[in-house]
Amino acid sequence: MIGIESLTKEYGGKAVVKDVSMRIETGTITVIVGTSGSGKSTFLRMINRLVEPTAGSVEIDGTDTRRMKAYELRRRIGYVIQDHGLFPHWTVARNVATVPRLLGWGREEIEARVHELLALLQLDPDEIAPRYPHQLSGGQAQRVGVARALAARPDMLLMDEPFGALDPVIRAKAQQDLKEIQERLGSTILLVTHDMSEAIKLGERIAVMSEGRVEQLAPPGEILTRPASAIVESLVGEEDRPFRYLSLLPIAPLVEPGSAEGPAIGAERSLRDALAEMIWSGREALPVVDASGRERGRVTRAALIAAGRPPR
Amino acid sequence: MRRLAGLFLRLGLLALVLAFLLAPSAFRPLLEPFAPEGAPAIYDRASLLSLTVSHLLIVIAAIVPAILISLGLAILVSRPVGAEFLPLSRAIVNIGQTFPPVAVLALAVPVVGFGTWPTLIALFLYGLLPIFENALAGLTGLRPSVAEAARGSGMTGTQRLVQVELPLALPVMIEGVRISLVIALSTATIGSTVAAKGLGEVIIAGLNSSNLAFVLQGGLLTGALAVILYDGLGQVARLADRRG
Repeated sequence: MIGIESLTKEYGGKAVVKDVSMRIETGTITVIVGTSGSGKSTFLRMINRLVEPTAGSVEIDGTDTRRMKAYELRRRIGYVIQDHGLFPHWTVARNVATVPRLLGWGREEIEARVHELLALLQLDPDEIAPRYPHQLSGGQAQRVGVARALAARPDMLLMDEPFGALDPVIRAKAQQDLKEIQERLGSTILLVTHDMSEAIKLGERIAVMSEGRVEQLAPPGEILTRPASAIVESLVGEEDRPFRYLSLLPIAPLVEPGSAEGPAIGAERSLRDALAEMIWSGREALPVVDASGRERGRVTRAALIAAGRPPR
Repeated sequence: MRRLAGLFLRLGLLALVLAFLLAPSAFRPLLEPFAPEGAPAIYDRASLLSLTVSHLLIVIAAIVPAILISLGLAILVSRPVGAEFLPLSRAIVNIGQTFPPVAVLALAVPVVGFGTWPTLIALFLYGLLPIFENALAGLTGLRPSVAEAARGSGMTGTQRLVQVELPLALPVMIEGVRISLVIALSTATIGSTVAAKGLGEVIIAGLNSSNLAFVLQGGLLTGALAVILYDGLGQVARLADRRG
């Protein structure tokens, strides 16, 4: 558990982050979303003390981070940045081994860990490990950056616009992969982005920041349906809101008995996927199958559109 | 193919210089047309080999301390603790460049006497600036994301310097040494005016006795040495940059 209490940063008397408090439960993804200049990056960088807070405190599992040496704290927190920041004079293997080496792990232990992480991030260790960063594609470099951050099994992962430098197709895949890795490892992640779609896609909870304050901290569904302020509402985007909301809801609860024509859709997919399929194939209803491929019933367009209008 | 040609050119030049130093009399027919009637075509007051060695030794003796001091200063002022010394350090190393080497030689003679010392002082002062400025540029020119990653992964200040900043700055640093070395090599010829042992002696003797052959062999040897060293260090810099 990460406890953040009244965190404040001032530069020359001007507050960039004002009195932010939040608790981050172990094993969850929290996304900080805001426009540039909202103080979100400064907030993130105060957690590993790349920026020293003017006031307030951060506790990791009950230990005040001010009581640790800054570099020891940082070795316990994985850090991923937009431009990946891989060390250009080191191979991929050496890059991933950065923190384990700082912590003095044994050689074999490090080698095994590097191998394990590259495989986890779908990078062929034999092929990728000996390469230098300039020999990697953008997507590969980004994944190596994540592997490096995860190497020493950190208490938490801080990610500052980790997908910002990727093109849209690779970005979507990287987001999906991150979510799967997080579920598999049970990592605690705090991710900063300016992209509300990314926040909704990844966040179990979203903190919307503006002018150094947290405007709202809530699950994505609540951010969409009950925005706490005009600023949050404008970030959510009025025209996209119903589609974003549908993208959060699974098909399963709307399944009704009956049959429908055409190819089936998985019950775990989102209502947004179902709507897209209906529009594209010109169907009023879709057959729904469960994970094992068994037919479960159907979902109709009327039910779907009704579900897209949240209770107020 | 081009690399092979380059290799042959380099080895050829080196072999030519060595051949001339070890057996200068073999080149007499080439130089004789430039010598006045009855005058020797090959410098005979000291062996060219020993002059070349002492020329190189003076350059090395001046540049090695210049490297150590410039590098130390550059590391110091690129740390947060030393940042306020940056203007002062710049001023100090700039003084070395503002004085013409001849003036430094002239001013040093009354203090340390004739011989090698005034030359060493002039070459040392002249070598500081390029090495310092290049080292500083290398150390402070780190990509921001790399600097951020080094800090964010929990390296201490010393670990960042040794593991990240110095290795990445190395090619630029070598470039600075390369410039200083070539300047020192040519400036060292002037040292012979205050009786430092070096190739300048040959050139000056040639000028005094209107012996073009002496001027040629002194000048060409100095030039060839400069080319060989400049090119060699360039190769080293490329090697250091291979992964960057």
